[in-house]
Amino acid sequence: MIVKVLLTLWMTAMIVAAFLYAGAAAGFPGQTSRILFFHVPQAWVATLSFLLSMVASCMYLARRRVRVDYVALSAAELGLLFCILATATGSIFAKATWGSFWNWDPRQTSIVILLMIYGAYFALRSAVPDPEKRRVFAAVYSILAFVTVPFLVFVVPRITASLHPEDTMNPANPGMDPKTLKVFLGSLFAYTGLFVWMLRLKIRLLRLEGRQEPEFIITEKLRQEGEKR
Amino acid sequence: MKEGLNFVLGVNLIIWFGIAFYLFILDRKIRKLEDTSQDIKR
Amino acid sequence: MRRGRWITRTGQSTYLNEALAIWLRDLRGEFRTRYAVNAILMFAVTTLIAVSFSIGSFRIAEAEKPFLYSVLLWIILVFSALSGLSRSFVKEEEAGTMDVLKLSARPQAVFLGKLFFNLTLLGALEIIIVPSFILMMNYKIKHPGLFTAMIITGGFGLGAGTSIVAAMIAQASARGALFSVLSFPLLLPLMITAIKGCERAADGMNTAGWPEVRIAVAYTVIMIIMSLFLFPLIWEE
Repeated sequence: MIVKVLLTLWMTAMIVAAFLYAGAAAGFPGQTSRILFFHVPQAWVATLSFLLSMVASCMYLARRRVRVDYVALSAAELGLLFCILATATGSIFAKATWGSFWNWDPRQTSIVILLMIYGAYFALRSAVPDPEKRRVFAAVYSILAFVTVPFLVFVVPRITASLHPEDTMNPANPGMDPKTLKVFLGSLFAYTGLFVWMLRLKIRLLRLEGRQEPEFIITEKLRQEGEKR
Repeated sequence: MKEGLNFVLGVNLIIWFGIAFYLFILDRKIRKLEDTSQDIKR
Repeated sequence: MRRGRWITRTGQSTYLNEALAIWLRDLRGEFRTRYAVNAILMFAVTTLIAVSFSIGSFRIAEAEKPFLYSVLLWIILVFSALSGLSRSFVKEEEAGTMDVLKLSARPQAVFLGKLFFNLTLLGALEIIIVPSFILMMNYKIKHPGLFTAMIITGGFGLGAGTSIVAAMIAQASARGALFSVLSFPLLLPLMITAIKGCERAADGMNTAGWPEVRIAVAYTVIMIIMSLFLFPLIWEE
């Protein structure tokens, strides 16, 4: 509990610092660089979630432990949330810096593709009635989706760079200014902590729901029968 | 510019406190559920 | 996962034999009913006519044509594929022959057979649509060899990326739309590469090394390997 309180305070500190402590970065119009203190950690968490979900999917396929699938599902939900946040803050930044909300530059393209993969993942989950099948299918899909990511990472930049000389999003070097770097890393840390907190909450919820599942009740009853004897 | 900055900061803080508050409430509710509802004895 | 031999020694059926059997069975069925081919071709032809009609009289700068036409061509191909390729598994589900199929051959063989079938459909699609497109739109291609290679490998990639998804949605509830939604993110890298490759072929510039073709081949190989790995998991449910 104390950790959560500390996390809350830390995030508060980071938000304040993002506006009052750190200065606005040089190459950007006005105060717009400040959004990067929020945008980049969000994108980072979105990618981290995706990775976690994929790894959990592999582990689920290996041992078929339902709890592992809880991790995969929760990570996917959070990943989607932070992906939407990252897209939103990114577009705001784009509008402020380059004048239009959407440019299809490589970073924006990758985040949209991630969004599509999440969308497809949840569409699949909701379309399979049988729970065991649902978990397996979802896990298989997330692995397939992950396999295409290296292609996107290497292919998309080549294409968009040579087709349109776009202004590539420069997540800048917040390393330039020590104050900025501190706030940036601090914010990254805060967002990761927030992610872990939300993830654990989701998993706990799923476990509680799982207690209502027939499969759980049956195995519990069998166990209790076994203990009586 | 300074006033604008303070305003945005304020909005952000309000949003964050709202989120944190919500998470704490959720935490408490989940904790209560976990402690009270035992494994189903039917 | 049982290991099977690729070359028969004692007359035992191999993966390839079983796969070919399934493929031939699907082909024969298709010859009779022509259901999937019709669906795919109708979609493709209609879209092609719509595109040609709308763009035909419009003045597009010559410099833009290689790229734009490549985009249009691949949109037609990909979406036609998405409209029809799920048939290979869905028809089993609809006819009730899914369980028989699961019993009759090993999972990898079933997947390969269905993959071959999908590739055949795609081959037919490309043979009909691509020349039609080139003629109707007056697509000037400076490097036909690269262009053909791109079309062929792109077609392979399309089949490789969608077949396992077809197997999944055949066993789910919301068939048609789900297939497109699931396949599209997986196909995106291939589509981007294919568009770029065809544009390059039409342009005639920088054609050394055929990078896009190689990427498409890599994509196909990887997707097929992953599918062979993962297919048994969704098949033996």
